[in-house]
Amino acid sequence: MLRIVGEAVLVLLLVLPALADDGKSQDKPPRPAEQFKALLKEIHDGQLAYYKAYQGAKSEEERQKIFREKSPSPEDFAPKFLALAEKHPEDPVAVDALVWVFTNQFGKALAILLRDHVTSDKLGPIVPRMGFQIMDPPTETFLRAILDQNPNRQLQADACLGLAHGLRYQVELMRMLPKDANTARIFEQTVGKKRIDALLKQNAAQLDAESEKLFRRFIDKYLDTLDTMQVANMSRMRMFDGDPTAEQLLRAILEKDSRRDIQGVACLMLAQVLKGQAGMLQGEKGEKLRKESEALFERALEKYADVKTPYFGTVGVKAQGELRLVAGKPAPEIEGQDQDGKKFRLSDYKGKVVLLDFWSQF
Amino acid sequence: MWPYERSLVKKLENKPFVLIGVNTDQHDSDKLKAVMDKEQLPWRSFADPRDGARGATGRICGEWCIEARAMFVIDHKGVIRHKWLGGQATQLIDDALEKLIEEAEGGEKKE
Repeated sequence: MLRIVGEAVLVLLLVLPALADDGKSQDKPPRPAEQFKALLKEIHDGQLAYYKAYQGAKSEEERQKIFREKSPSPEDFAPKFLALAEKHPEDPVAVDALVWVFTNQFGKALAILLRDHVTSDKLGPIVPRMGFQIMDPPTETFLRAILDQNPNRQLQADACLGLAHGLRYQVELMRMLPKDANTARIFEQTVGKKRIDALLKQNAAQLDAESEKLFRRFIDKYLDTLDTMQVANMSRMRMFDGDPTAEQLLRAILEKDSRRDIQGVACLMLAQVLKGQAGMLQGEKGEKLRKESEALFERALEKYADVKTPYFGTVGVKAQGELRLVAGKPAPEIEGQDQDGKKFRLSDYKGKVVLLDFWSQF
Repeated sequence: MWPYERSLVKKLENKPFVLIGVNTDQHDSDKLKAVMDKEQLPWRSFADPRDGARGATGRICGEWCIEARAMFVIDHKGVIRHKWLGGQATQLIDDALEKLIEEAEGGEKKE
């Protein structure tokens, strides 16, 4: 029995390369994966040719002409990728093709992804960001489908958080747009009046309740899917003034997550987020937040000083900076070069009042 | 903001005051010089080129925990007296500087 199996494997090994050769020599249509690769190559070659021609152009006029005639346009390829995915829903490369199209022809790709591939584990590149915009109904439907049907826990988590946050944003827009004609007009221009009208017709209380429920679900079930990078990015996840999402998640991590590096980064980030909020509030409320923020920086310094953060060295360095760099504390020394390449120090100017201006050209 | 900063430097040129920049665009000295010449910025700035070990910021911005525009007012003894993240009303800056320059001059003009 074993022997037979062995022989069968041997035969297969011999046959497979032969089949592949056949495929090429007899002009059979290439397999979906090969078609996908060929499309990518075509795009790449087109871009390269365009780039070279553009670089080689001798006059502005010629550059304009090359730009008009040769600049690669993804729209030309989207139908080809879509056709590939439509024709071979059984082939894994269909998802690759649709993920590619997604950035160019969002709606159509989304509909096919929803129909054929909602359980794929390859949707990582698109799901995490989907809730962080004004969700249109298909996006919402898609995220719900991922959450309910996709077996991949990370994708479930991303969909859950995206939905929760996206719904929260909708509630905020429903509250804010009727009061703020200027912002309302800008939104209408970007997403269309129809979308805004539909958005405003929803039941805010119901959305709000669902959003809360989804946040609780994320905290109960998926908190451990967050990595330090995501936690470090939380101070930037604010979608509107007073968005409580980051604070809510960071508090939950500090309370429930058992991973030390995640706790360390979360402690630092919560301190940061609260500090930001304190800066916008007057009086007692702001003062209370400022104190809590400071206590969290102290705690970060005490307990997590050695934890590495993805962006700014260790938790310790950052927390120390936050605690030292305040009114009443001596300014830390700066040593560096000026615009002429000359070395100098901040302390060279002791005796003078210094306005230290961190400025950007942009 | 730059017209204000230019006028500030001019207005306080005979006072115990200095405006020092830290450029946050991660330029090296040469690039910084080109930018400051082009924009006509008449003050001394630290260049803060990208620091590989720190990731996305320069060394100074890393140590001072700067992610966006920020201003510090440091008194003549080297103590931080004000810290503003983001922009600040120029009147507030004027008032703060005036008070601290008096202190630096020995307080003889204090009312």
